Amino acid sequence: MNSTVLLFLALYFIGMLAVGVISMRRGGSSSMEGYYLSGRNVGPLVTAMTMQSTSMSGYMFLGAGSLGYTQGYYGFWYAAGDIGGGVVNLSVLGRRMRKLSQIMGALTSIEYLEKRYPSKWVRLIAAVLSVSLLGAYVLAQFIAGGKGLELVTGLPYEVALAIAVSVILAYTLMGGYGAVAYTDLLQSFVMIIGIVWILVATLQEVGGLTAANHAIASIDPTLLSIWGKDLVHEGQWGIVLGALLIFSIGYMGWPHVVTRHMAMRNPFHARRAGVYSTLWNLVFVSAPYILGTLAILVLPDLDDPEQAIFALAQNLLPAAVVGIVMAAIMAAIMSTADSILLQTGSIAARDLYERFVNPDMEEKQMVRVSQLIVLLLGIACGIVAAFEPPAIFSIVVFTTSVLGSAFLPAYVAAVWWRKANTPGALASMIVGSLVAFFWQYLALDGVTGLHPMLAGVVLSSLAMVVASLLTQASHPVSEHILKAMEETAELRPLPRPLKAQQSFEMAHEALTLKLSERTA
Amino acid sequence: MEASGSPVLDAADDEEAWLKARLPLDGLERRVAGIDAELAIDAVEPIGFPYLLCLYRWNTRRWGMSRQELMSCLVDRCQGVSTTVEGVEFGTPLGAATLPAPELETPPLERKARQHVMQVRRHRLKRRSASGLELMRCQTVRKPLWRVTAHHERHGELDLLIDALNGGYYLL
Repeated sequence: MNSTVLLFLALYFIGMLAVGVISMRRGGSSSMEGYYLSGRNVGPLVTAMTMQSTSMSGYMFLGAGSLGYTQGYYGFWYAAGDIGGGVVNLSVLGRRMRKLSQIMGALTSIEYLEKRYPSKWVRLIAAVLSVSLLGAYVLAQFIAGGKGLELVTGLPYEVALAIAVSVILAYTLMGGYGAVAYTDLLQSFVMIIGIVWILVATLQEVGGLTAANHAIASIDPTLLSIWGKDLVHEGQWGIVLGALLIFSIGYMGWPHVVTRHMAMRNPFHARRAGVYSTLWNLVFVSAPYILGTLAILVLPDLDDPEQAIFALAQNLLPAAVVGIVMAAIMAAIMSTADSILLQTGSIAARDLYERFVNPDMEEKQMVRVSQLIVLLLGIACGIVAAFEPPAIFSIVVFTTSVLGSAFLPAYVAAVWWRKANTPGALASMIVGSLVAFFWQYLALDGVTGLHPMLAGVVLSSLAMVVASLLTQASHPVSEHILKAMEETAELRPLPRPLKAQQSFEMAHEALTLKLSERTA
Repeated sequence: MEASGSPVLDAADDEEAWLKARLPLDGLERRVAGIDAELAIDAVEPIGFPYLLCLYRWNTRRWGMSRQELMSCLVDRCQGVSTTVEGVEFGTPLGAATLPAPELETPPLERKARQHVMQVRRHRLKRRSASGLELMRCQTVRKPLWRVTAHHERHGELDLLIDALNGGYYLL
């Protein structure tokens, strides 16, 4: 156990905690919108960075490194999708979802679905799916935290995991979207500095990328192929397309990521946020996959491929720098965990317990229920992570495939397709989640050559279209939703400052006046 | 109607109160010029937008001292969108104002306001303890808005909705 590394790790945690406390005290507690969406007052840079760091951290430092270590350059299919994921998400959903969620008065991404597709079943199914899948995602972050600390401190995995889980839980109970978003911003910068530092050190160690490629080719040339080790995925375009899709359009189905659209200060910030997220992705996203592949040369006998990046940092960087880089990695993992844990707790408390069990509960109960859910979820995930830790890459791919398949058509059609109705949304969520789940459970990707994400998204989109069209007569989309969609679609050739400085909290008043005008 | 054991006054039967227009008609031209210097006002229509104003009270204890805190919540009577407000001031009605009709019933809106305030307090509760929430008053109020038809030199005619409480605007 290196004391310099531990010192930097401790200092970094204290620093992050301080930023969290300051952000929480400066805003976010003055209203319900403040708590859930930071008062819809988040700028484009923070929106982009919180979206990217929340989407990636734990997986990128462990799962992506592992994929590079075991499959070589095949991992670039995931990286390619990931680089464009942020801008696709912000372009397709950003502005419209931000406006529609405010007009409809929705504060959580699940509540938004119920307002757009009015039915308690939409909320119930969406909330149950989100809580269970995001719970699994939390599990992945816990394992990432435990493994990271194990390597840095030399403590046994179980002890390291207990420390990581305790810190994550304590941090999560501080809560508040504003605090999470602003810590994410800082962490995103540190993450990028950390990953670039390790990459430069590793490239120096292996004598540059060309020399590294020659050396890898001498070990196993198939590692340099885009089809994976031993060309295991050669010609499997269904698998490759799924790998591309999972992080390019998959984000649009993740409830904890689409919430970021709803918190933007201004719908028109989506465009700038897209630029920032792409710039960040260009530097950050490919690095972990490259590092994983280069680790084959530096650390050929690694027991656990998921520790490839940690091990590279520990072997190649001076102790003080290792401390900073490790602390950044740990903090990024914990930040993702606290966002998802908070989101899961909020959905369970607000969209399930309050909505269906006890709508009139007192605030003390509400606090206890929410905290209890977060605590129970944290403990349950901690126990599973301690005794049966599955591979992080498998959990992340599993949860993201099911989440993406279940919610992507519902979120996209909510703002783009006027005929998307409640039966369509229900059919799409049920079909998407079941297909993606069983596709992976029964290992149908091996049989069909189709990635679970691809199968899930195609079939859930089909279910949305067919069910919506068949039930147009019995379940027409109500007039006020159509008008709200018209309002969100509106774009005018107006001066930028005039558009940007609008008070978007007046959108519902404007909509009412327009509706009454048309009725008259 | 009764909530939290407290009698509630619903002013629906009484004359509707108006929130104070901090941006009066004579300050409108300056405000519009502040939005864009090239905008020139053609017509102004005053609007009284219907809201339900609920005032809640609770007790807090800090350093052994007990004190009461108040919080108001406005809920849009047409769409049901809620927001907490501080420093509510009442003023005179805007003359010849258009008055959109309230479309939503009071009980669900009051429930929404209560939940909203509960959520706000729930977050604050992390730092201080408090007893139950008591509804002090619940009444329909009109929020003053200005609907301004203006002409922009380069972009033609524009309709703006201007919030008379804080001067915020939205393009119609």
